[in-house]
Amino acid sequence: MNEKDPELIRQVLEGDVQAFTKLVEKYQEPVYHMCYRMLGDAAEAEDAAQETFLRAFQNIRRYDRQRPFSTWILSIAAHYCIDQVRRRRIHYLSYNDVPHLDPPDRSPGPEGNLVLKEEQFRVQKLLAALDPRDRAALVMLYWYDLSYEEIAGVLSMSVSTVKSRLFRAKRELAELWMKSSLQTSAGERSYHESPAF
Amino acid sequence: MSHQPFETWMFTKETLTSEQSHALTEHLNSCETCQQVESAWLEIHQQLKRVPAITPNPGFSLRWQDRLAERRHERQRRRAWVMFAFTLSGALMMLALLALRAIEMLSSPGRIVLIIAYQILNLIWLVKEVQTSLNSFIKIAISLIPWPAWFGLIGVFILVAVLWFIVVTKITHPRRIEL
Repeated sequence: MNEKDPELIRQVLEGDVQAFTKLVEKYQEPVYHMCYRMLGDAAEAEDAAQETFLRAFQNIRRYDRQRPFSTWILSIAAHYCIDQVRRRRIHYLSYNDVPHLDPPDRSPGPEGNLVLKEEQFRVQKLLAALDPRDRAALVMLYWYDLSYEEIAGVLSMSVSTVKSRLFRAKRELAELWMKSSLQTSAGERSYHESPAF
Repeated sequence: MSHQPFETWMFTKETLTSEQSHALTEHLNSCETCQQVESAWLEIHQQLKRVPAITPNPGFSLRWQDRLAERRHERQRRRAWVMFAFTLSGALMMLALLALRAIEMLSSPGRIVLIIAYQILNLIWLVKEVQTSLNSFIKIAISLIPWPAWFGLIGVFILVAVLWFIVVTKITHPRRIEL
């Protein structure tokens, strides 16, 4: 946890809303990213991230100061998004849903951006097929570098459950990837084939 | 052909021993199905590593402040409505009762005065009776209840007091911040 967090939290507990705004500024990116990976829609992710911070603010007295604030806030975001996904169940991802990207330097020019956007779309489509809890565990493993123990803490489950969920998620992703690759190559074949007369 | 435990090992490479890694490599060399799964997973793994984090649109914290203010305003408005509804219904009930009494008093004021006087006398008598009964009850209780049982009673009393204190503390210091 950042050294400033305990001080900011102390100020929030004394009724300083501005101190919490500083925490919002600091953690907006990881929380928003988690919400986007879970929900796959920029507007819904914004809404979920805002709601996460509101809930955190309301429940700040329940926050255990022994835990890092980052994992606590991610835990709220993950649980909220899991509930949202369960409520909605079906979501059709559109290419236009891929939000504003902050690409690293390796992808110069509009072509690089397009490739990146396509990759985002493909990854998001794959993630959307997973069970929300499996998805949350995978997102934490890949984008937040959390350990199995930390993921277990965030998702309120045992370490062995985290491991089995991650295994299931990875296997499912591999199967989906193989299926989509087969479909793509079949589509390409039929596109390039000359029509039969 | 059995793909276990290799199928499991493919996805948990970081926890494998050198013997297990060697066995997995040998299996992958001879099993085309597992090879396909392995290469599919490696591709996804690379993509997951490659796609960058997504950032919200600028002004996120300002929007959060707006939402907090909006939520607070909404809650205050709801509270005001509830208070208004309670006050209004209470006032209407009082008004109805007063109206009924006024009608009675206007029809026979002498009878009302007599009833009030009778009720006051009744109340004084009731208080005296309760006082006498309580005195006799205490005297009997002191003689009947053994002294160890008094400790139990005092304990119950303390417990009730502690519970009362906890409830008051919970109400005055809620765990949730009121929006």
